[in-house]
Amino acid sequence: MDRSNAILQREQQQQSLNPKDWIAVDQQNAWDLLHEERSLMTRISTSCADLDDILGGGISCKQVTEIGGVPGIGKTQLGIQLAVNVQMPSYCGGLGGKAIYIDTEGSFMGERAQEIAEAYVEDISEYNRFLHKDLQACQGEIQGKDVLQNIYFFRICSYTEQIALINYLEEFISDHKDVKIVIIDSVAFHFRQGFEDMALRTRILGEMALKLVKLAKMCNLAVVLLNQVTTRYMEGSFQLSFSLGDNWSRCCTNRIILYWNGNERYAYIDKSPYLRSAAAPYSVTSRGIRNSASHCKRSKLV
Amino acid sequence: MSQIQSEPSTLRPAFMTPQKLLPDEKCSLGCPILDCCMGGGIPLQLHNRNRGRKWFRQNPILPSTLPPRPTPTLPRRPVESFLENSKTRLPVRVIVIDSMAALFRAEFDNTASDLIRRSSLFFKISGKLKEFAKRFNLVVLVTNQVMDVVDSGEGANEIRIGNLNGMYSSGRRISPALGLSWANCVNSRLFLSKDEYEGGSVGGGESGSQSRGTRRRLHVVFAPHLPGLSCEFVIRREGVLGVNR
Repeated sequence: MDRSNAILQREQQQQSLNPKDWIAVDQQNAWDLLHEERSLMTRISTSCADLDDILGGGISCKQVTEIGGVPGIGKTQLGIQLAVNVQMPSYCGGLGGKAIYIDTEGSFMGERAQEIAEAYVEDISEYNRFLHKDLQACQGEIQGKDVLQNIYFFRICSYTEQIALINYLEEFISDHKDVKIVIIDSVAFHFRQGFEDMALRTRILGEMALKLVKLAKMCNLAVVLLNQVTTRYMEGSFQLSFSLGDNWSRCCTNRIILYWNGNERYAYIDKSPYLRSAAAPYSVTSRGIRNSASHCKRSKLV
Repeated sequence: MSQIQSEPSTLRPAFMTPQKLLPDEKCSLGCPILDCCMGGGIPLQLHNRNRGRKWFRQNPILPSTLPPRPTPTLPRRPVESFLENSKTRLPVRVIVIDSMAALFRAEFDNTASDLIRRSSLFFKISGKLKEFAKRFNLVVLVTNQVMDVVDSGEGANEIRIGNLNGMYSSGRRISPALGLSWANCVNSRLFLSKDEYEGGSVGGGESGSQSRGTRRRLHVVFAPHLPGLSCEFVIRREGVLGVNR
């Protein structure tokens, strides 16, 4: 635990040195905020139209979004999809940014990312063809390879590394200004062992969350935290809840729960300051996250 | 300690692009049909978890890539120092733990404090194993046991994990031992089922002579790189072979 204390102390020193940064960020009135919200395209599509609908267009920039669910529900798939979709060029209504992918569990697979990237490239070129039928090849064709090169991938093996990396992110992003999304898959894994002092863990997690909130605001990017779920004994029965406890859950702006409903995967907005609670089905296909197939059929019939 | 207090620049982590991860290295299962089902084999650096029978222990080990005999010194010394100072002719590329459940199911009580201690240990162990997988570029395969699902009401066992809506083997509804917290520790999970069938009644099968038989299947419960599919397999003298039907 000495290690983490040392890190904490250093962080606190760093923070207290430049309090002006903190004040400067928040000097904005509501009118400015509204203007900014409207003028800037601040959503990253999930490639699932139903999910985008309930999210108001996609995962929003400047905010921290936590996504959780049982193993195998598609958290990593959604993470990879977002890392690819953030690159969508502005003429397709995207951000044209790059992605940082922080893999703490080792679930990120290069070949899967390639598969999703290639499907994305196909979709984009199809869109181009549809849009400019006569202006063929006006833009250099994007390739799956280029898409993968725009993802900065970090593999983390301990919580000290994780804290160090998050401290370093601000510097990294100031060198790579086109980063528009930071994905941590998963935020919980290394914090679920080796902590006897739970108060310390809460404090470290709180610091980490603050850093991420600040990063999202200052650098105008989306922070997506994938989290595990755990069973907790509450009121006489076992219930599913997000890991890392209640204090942590207050740090995230938005929270999406992924769950099974029969044989369909669903996403549910559990917490958001501006979206109403809603659920939407989605599916994980070989091309990535897409609308749920059975749902499509149903809407066609109607 | 010294690492933390030194200049932050030394802590600066290096990034790579996913391009560097390609192509994913795979450890063959020794059978083209099974390999096809697994997308080419078990990927290195991925922490696998496999529930069912022991045959998998020998099988993913390719004779050409691994020490000819399992080294008897392995259990007596810590695995980490063994891996670091390995003097074997060929590098160790597979770690098999058979089985994780056997120890944990016996040693711990069903009390809240024991369960918390147990799940904390799971994360510690899997964190370490994942670190090995990355540092030494190897496959980690962990077998688990299954248990019967007793009540069909709600309970911790009833949470659906992965592609299978209920697991069945030998005609019984089962669920993996060690629960949700261990499921959070692994990257992918395979499930092996075994069912007895009457020769004439089920499927085509060989006619007449064999009245009863067993049908084994390998299911992908979850994996970041595989769709939820399954494949039939048989165990022969030569090893484990996939069946193409």
